[in-house]
Amino acid sequence: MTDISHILVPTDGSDGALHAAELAGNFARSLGAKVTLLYVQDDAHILSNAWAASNLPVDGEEDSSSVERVRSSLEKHAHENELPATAEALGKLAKEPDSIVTWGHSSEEICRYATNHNVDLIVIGSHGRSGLKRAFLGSVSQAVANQASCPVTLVK
Amino acid sequence: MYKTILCAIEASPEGKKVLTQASKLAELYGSELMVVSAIPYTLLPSNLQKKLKDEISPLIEKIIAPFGIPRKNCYIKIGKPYAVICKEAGRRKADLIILGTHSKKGLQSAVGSTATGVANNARCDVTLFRL
Repeated sequence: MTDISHILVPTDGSDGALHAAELAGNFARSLGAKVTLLYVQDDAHILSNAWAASNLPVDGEEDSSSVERVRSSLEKHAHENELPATAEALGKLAKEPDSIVTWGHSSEEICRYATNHNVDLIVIGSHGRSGLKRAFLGSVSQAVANQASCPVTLVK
Repeated sequence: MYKTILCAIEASPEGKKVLTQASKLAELYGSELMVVSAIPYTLLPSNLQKKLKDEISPLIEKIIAPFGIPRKNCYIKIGKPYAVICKEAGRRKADLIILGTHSKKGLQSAVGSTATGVANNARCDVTLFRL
């Protein structure tokens, strides 16, 4: 690591993610770094919503139109709510942050994005929306710290 | 930004690697850098613990010397590594702990993992470097 020019802030819209974004904004202003906000829709979340929406039989084939419908609805929600809130927490930056929505397994997608886009630092809330709050490290942040090839800052 | 960074190292080549990264980060953030090293042999008689500490101290000092870290900012303590690191971070009012993870499994929920213990118990932010 010689420089930090690209910071990745994974967000789920939780308080922890907003706090991480505040800190990442400070880093970015001081270091002149670019920031990318990444919102990952978890596959299991999409499928469970799709199943609920279409009354799929539990052991049946997934209804692709229903999955697509839920996916685009969640993507719209992320672009309209979670990402703007996180961008606001970053504060004013020299360059507007990129806001990306993707889907898959949260920690795997975060690490894959970081590797493929030459991210120098991941700044992530230590607790997201899932799991026992405050008791232990969140499952996504733990998995990201475990798998990422770049440094990871866990924000308390 | 961070005023005080506490970097946890071992007396090993990995310790030097993580301190190199921490030093760069401290420079970027404009932070004061401190170093902690834990000697995990808590069940040894106190005279042997002292002997071990006397042996390890020069090795740690040799690692920190090129980074211009004053000796007073280097803490070598006996105890469980994660507990020592978190305690010193609190005592020194560190707002960031930096440590390396050299295990292939990285930060895992396995009992005994220093990185997991620090991440779960530290009251301040934690940055992990994969070595």
